[in-house]
Amino acid sequence: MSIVEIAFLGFSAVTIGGAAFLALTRNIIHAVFLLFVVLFGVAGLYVLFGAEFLAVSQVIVYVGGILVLLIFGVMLTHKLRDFKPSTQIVNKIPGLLAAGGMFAVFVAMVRTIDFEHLARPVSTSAKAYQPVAGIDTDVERIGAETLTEYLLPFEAISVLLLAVLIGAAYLSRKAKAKEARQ
Amino acid sequence: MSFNELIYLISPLLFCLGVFLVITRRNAVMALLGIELILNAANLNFVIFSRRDPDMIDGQMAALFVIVLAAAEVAVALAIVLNVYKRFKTVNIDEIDSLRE
Repeated sequence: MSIVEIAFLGFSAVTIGGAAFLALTRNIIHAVFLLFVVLFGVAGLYVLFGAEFLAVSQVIVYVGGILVLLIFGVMLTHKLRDFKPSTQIVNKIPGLLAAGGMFAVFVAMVRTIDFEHLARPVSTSAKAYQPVAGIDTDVERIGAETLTEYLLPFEAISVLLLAVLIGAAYLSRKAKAKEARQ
Repeated sequence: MSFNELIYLISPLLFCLGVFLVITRRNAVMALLGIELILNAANLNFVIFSRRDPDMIDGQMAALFVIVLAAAEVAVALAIVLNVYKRFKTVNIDEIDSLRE
């Protein structure tokens, strides 16, 4: 067993173990911090699969941004006086049926993959990126591709982010104005 | 089960745990956590399949855009959840069943 395989098993154990505890825990604070564990496990898997830039973005955006937002959400939506940070687990049977059934379908799908054929990299030499001065890192490629091949989605997502910024600010402000009037 | 198959089963497992979380919780924030798991599973799948073609980084670009979308989604969803909490004094999804008070 190679070191890569051992690392893969370790990171996937962290990811899946964290997600399993997350799915079963009743304490919402524990759940948010378990998501932290899962996100770090996924970032490790990204590095293993050669997506270093994505791993760093994952840590910065998810752990630095989304997780803090979620913790704020938990803190603000529970009364501090009778703080019961637990949630019930409902619909156990339908949940198990849906998730288990889906997973069975996925397993059946994966078993049909022809790995011999898949292992051969598809050559797309016409579109292949030529590294500048012999440096071949994903970061450089992602930068170049973002401003050439993916310029339209990049611009579209920047407009979306602006809309979200205004939308989120508007949603929070309106509630405050209403409160002041009452 | 070969090692190759194991690699491709990680993201479906993560996805199904996210679906289980969304279905079995009443708390809106917990459902959001489940959605985050689902998005991460999709990203992981993109990256794993992207590795198969060293010439292209389409999968990584798609995953990058999904990360941005996830950040946007959480910001708006939490603003809505906070508004709902202010108005209904609960974030229980089952109890919030009217558009106005």
